[in-house]
Amino acid sequence: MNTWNDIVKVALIGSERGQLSEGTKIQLQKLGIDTNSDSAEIVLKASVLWSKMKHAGYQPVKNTSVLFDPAPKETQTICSLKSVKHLMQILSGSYKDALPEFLQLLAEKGQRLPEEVLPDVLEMAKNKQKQWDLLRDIIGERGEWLVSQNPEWQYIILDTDLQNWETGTKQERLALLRYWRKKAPEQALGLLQNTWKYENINDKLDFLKILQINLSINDELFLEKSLDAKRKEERKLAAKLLSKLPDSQLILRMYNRIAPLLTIQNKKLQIILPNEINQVTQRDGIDIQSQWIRGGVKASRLGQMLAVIPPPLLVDHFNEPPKKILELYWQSDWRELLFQATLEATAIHNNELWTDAIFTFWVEKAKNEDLSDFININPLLENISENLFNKVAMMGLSNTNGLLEEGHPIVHLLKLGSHRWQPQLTNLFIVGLQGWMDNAQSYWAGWHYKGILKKAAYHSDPMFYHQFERGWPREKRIWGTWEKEIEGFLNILRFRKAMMEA
Amino acid sequence: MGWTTEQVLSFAPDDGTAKRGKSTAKLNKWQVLEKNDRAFWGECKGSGSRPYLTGVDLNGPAFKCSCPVRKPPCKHVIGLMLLAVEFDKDFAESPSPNWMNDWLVKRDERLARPKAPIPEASVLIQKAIDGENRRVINNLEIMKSGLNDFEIWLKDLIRQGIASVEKESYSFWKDAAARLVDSKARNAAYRLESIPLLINANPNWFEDVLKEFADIYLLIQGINRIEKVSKPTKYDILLATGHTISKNNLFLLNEVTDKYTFNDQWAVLGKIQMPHSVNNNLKIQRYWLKSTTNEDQFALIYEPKFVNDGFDYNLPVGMIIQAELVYYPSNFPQRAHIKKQVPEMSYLSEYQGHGDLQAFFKAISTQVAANPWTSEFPCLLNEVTPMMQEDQLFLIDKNNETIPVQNRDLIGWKLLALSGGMPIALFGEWTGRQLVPLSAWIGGRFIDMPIKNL
Repeated sequence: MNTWNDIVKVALIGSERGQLSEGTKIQLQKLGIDTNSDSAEIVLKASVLWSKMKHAGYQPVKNTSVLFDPAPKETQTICSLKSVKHLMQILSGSYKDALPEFLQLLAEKGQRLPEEVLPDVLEMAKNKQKQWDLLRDIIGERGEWLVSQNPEWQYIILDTDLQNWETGTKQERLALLRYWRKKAPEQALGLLQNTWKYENINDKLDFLKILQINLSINDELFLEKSLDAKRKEERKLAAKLLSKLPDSQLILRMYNRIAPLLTIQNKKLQIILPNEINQVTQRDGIDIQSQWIRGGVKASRLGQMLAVIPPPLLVDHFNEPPKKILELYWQSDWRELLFQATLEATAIHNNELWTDAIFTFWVEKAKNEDLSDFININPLLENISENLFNKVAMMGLSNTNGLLEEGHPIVHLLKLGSHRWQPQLTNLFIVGLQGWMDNAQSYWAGWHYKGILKKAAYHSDPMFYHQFERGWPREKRIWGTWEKEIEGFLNILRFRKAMMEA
Repeated sequence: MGWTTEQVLSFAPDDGTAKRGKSTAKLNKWQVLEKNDRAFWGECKGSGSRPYLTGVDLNGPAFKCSCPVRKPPCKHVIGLMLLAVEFDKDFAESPSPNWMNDWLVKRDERLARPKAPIPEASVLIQKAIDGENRRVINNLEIMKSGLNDFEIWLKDLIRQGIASVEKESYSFWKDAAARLVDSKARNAAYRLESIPLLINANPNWFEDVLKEFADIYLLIQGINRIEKVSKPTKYDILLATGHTISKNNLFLLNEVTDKYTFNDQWAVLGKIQMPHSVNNNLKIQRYWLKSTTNEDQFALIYEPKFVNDGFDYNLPVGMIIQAELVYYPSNFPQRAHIKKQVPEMSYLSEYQGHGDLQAFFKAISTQVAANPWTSEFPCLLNEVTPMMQEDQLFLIDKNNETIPVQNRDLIGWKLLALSGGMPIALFGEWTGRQLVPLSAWIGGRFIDMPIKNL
């Protein structure tokens, strides 16, 4: 035992119980400590001496590990100094929602990120898969060198060699499958088919999720097999994917089940709730126990079936246009169930005509009733196309005097923040808000517009900044309660404009 | 102007002003933005009918603002400076307006004016010396008596064993520390109060606790032998125990002998702002300065403040300042105050540090030998290569020797990213176990890595 450890040991158990070894005592005597004095005093003096000697005599350790070779020289040009400043502002949290746009701009210019921000950006993007492809193009040689040393950032490495499908780590396999699914969907399916029976359930579920990319009828056979899988999670996910294929056998089977349950008699919708659900229906993903929506188990089963039927099939089935079908729903005792199910089916099949119809219908009904109390519009909002987003939002705003109510579907839509706002939409929104501010009687109304302003700031075209900057009632008393948000909106736009011009 | 955003923000007297300054740095808040070779200025819309007149004299820098805030630079000045960094081209070239010109002329006159002798300086100095001597005598008497009592407490504890303190309540330490505070041994009390934080903090916690006890014991031994040591060592012991010398008294005491006064160009290498380790009412600021002419001379500008007070010093990290520093008397002078600072400053252009780890540790042993009561060790290394191993950061020198480095907030990865596997220069504080990085010099660039935990 070395001297320091001996001193620590005695100090730990107490100098009344423990004794320093003879070797330690000799060492201490050589250094001038009287080892015949009080035991506590000896330990304390020895501790002082040794701790200071340890500090003063600290010795660095010889490196035994192999150093990485220095990073290769960069081939891409670094982004401009102005861009670096913008990025610093984004990373410091001032405009953090502008990061995807910043990365996109850099990728378009073929430039790379400065070295010092690489760790922050790589760390920030760890859970944001949408940014990975962009990042790959802009981290430069230094970024790749850095990634090679940090397993947590290796999500970004894209190994596209099909040979590695069986040998790669899970992250590598997911990336490989994602890549080939985008590039050659059938080849990716082939990869899965080859190894499917050897995969564990967690991997299977993650791989199935990737099949959503370029999902087509060619995947049907593979997915049908998964409907007979042992694990419920796999069966459920496969059914969900098949229900996205309008021409799949699952959809046909589901339609055949539901057709006799929904009929029009005397210009009214007649509904029969399904009684028994057989094994085959359950195999197609219908959960017999779930309370999908208010109305009981049977209603829930009907709702689950209707929620996967492509809306155009309903047009053929009822021989009525979407607007009329929605009207029939509305008059039914089951309007909540029918409306929600068809809304979800519209979202799953991404049907523009029906999205338009549902929004138009909703905007019309919303004049008298707040539908958001019992209908969840989010599934539809998540899938709405950019054109339709702008069209529907403009329609909603132009039909309104003053501000839209908080529960209005257009308010939900505008708060989405995933689509670009056309300048006409931003203009319409701003003019509406300015008009309301000009004549506002109460200052506490309109708070929900403040949230929309932030979305508008990141999704409007910043090149129209000077147009959006005009017309705010800065001299009115109400300005005080809105100044922060409106100036914030303008600042973000100005920042994004500068970012584009940098 | 050539400042960076970080440098401008470092002028702010506190974080609140820096934050408010950022929100003032909006073009639409300013009615006028102008500049010339000497200065730049602007008119900022405020709550009143007249805008605030805000200006910066580049010959300094010095700041002016017509707002009522009396702790310069105010948020308007910070905002204006940030705008000058970001939107230089939005400042129109112009001769100084009258209000700005009057101020600049007054400044020029003041700078050119010979300093008037301080009336009865010698009386003030003598008073300070007498007062300090009296305080030392009084404090020593109280310290000796209190520390001797504490020695009995400490020896009892060592007889029982450190393992016995594991289950002690916080009040066990608090009560003993309170007695040390009563004995004017405030710093020893802080050390004692920090012990509960060490217990079970790592598998070898008892070693850390023993080291703290050893340091306090060394203070007791020092105080008991204080009449036998040199004057600088006497002050090392007194200051480490808890004796204080105010900034003004320090300056006055050094009027007699300028042994501890150094007029030099100082590189501002690092900044730490953090809460006091045990006293919740205090916060700490530490600046590390290094002489550009004397290779081994560092200065630690240490400032404890109550949490609601602003710090007195606001130095631009990464710049070289011209200043007269007065060190506290010591066998190894390190802690200092700035007595005078000339407004000019320049950019740091290189790091002058130890060439390898052996050279640095040789310097450490000299420092420990000269002042074993010191606890802050500056470390400036040239030509060290950062390396990450399982999330632990190391520095490797040219002799393939390594030391561990604190890896907070992705700093290790940032250093690695900047270095690209090539040697860099790094400055930080050595804790005895690891290096706490505070700044680096990489590829001709200064990289600030401040600790800001307030």
